[in-house]
Amino acid sequence: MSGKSRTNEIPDAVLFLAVLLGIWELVYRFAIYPTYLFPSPAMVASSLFASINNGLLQIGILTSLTRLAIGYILSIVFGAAIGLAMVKSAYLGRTLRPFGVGIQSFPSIAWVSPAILWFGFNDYAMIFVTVMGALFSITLGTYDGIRNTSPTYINAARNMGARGARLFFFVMLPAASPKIVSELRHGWSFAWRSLIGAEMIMATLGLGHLLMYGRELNDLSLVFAVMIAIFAVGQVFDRLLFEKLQNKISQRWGLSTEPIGL
Amino acid sequence: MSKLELRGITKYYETGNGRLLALNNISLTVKDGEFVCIVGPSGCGKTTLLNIIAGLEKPQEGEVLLDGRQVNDTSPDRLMVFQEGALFPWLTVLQNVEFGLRTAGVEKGKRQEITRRYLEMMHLSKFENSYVHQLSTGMKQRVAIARGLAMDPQVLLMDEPFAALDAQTRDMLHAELQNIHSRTRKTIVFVTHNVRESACLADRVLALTYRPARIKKEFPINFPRPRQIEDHFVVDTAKMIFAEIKDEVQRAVSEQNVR
Ligand SMILES: Nc1ncnc2c1ncn2[C@@H]1O[C@H](COP(=O)(O)OP(=O)(O)O)[C@@H](O)[C@H]1O
Ligand SMILES: [Mg+2]
Repeated sequence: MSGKSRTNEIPDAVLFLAVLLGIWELVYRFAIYPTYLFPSPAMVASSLFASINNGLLQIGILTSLTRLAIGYILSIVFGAAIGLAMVKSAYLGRTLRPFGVGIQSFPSIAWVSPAILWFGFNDYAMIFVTVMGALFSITLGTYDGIRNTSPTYINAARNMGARGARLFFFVMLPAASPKIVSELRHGWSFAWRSLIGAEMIMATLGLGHLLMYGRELNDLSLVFAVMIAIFAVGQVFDRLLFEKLQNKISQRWGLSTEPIGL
Repeated sequence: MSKLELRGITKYYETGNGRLLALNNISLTVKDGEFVCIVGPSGCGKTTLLNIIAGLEKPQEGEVLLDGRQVNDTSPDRLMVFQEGALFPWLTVLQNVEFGLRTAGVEKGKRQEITRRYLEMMHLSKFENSYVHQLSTGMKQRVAIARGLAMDPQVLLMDEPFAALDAQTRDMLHAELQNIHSRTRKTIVFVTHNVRESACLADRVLALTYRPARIKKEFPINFPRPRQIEDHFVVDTAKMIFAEIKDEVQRAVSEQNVR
């Protein structure tokens, strides 16, 4: 089943891209917009290669990914800690859950203003915004995942003698893993969005900064080239890491092989 | 001689519309190696009673004694085979069965030897590397039984383990369970709403009343084994037991309809 959908996926993607590029090229040919406002696919491609050749893109990707990694790891550490505290304390769970759900629909880019005042125009501020983007997904994933674990699993494990750390790491955590991984995936994409937003405003290297740089030069080819890079980085991790992990869990558990989540 | 003893177990739940008395002053003794079946209509408190024996729930009154000593917390010496199996979907069949041994710190070689022995006994050797969702319902219940036996408990507690199975699979597992019981002489407390099943399996059947559950009557069953569910003495005994609890079943049905 999953094998079949896999083999279809590549030609589907190729066809989709071909149509997209075709329409793009057509619109360009008809010159509906002036060239500087609407570059051709070829112009964007050459801009992409140029920015790779002069190293601009690599530096941007590396800078952004470093910030993302730090922010994401911090989100996991704090998110898991807060989630577990909520599991332990019924009071924290009751009060923080609605707050967490609410703040998830809050645009994390709004944290840029306090971040600049607290930290200045630097990496700390951007990492802070990234953390605020991902933190609550991971907090709620941990909390809901563990809270919704079937009590029968826990009873069976306790009956077989499992207590404390063994119960937690060998039963509660794996039982919650589908939910946790799904929220780790959400968290990753939230973190990525938040970071690019923060970089656009704070303008210190990174892909978000390159976007603004292209705008200042009126170089839309560069802007599109950077957007493609942002898309590609997001997809690489989403598909190669999170989707694979989710599929593996779904297969083991016999859940639907449809992607869960986004 | 008595392996397991319950003294005056009373259990109630506080619910939205008042106190629900589930178990009312239940006392019973189970001899070493005895196979006891407890029958009663759905919702009468059978699972609650097993959970209390297993130490997974606490009664408000009464005590549970194993080999004459009071027990409180849950422990593998009273091992439960849950109604829905409660196997872990993230583990293979082998890993499920060895979970308790691993927890107890049994070293790998010994652990696998024990695990494989019970997998073989339950005809599951070929499936040791399968995941739970790849198994049929009957196979899942066999894994659950293997997992229970692998812990070598003092008392094996079984909560309607065959309720979800088709008739053929159930007949087969009835035969296997009797076989295991005669080979291992395990003390077994087996709960079911199926009167026929209880008459087929048990040395002694305890019939429960419906809410609150009390022990209404005991039926010793001395027919030779192995028995089959359609054996005429099983059918006759089941009729006798059913006559005794018919009112309870009717009460259960009508009360559950009212709600
Ligand atoms: N945790 C609980 N809270 C409230 N009521 C419960 C709880 N567990 C069981 N009950 C009630 O106790 C009665 C007995 O339940 P149970 O032992 O599961 O019955 P059985 O296993 O015989 O079908 C039922 O009416 C059920 O609704
Ligand atoms: Mg039950």
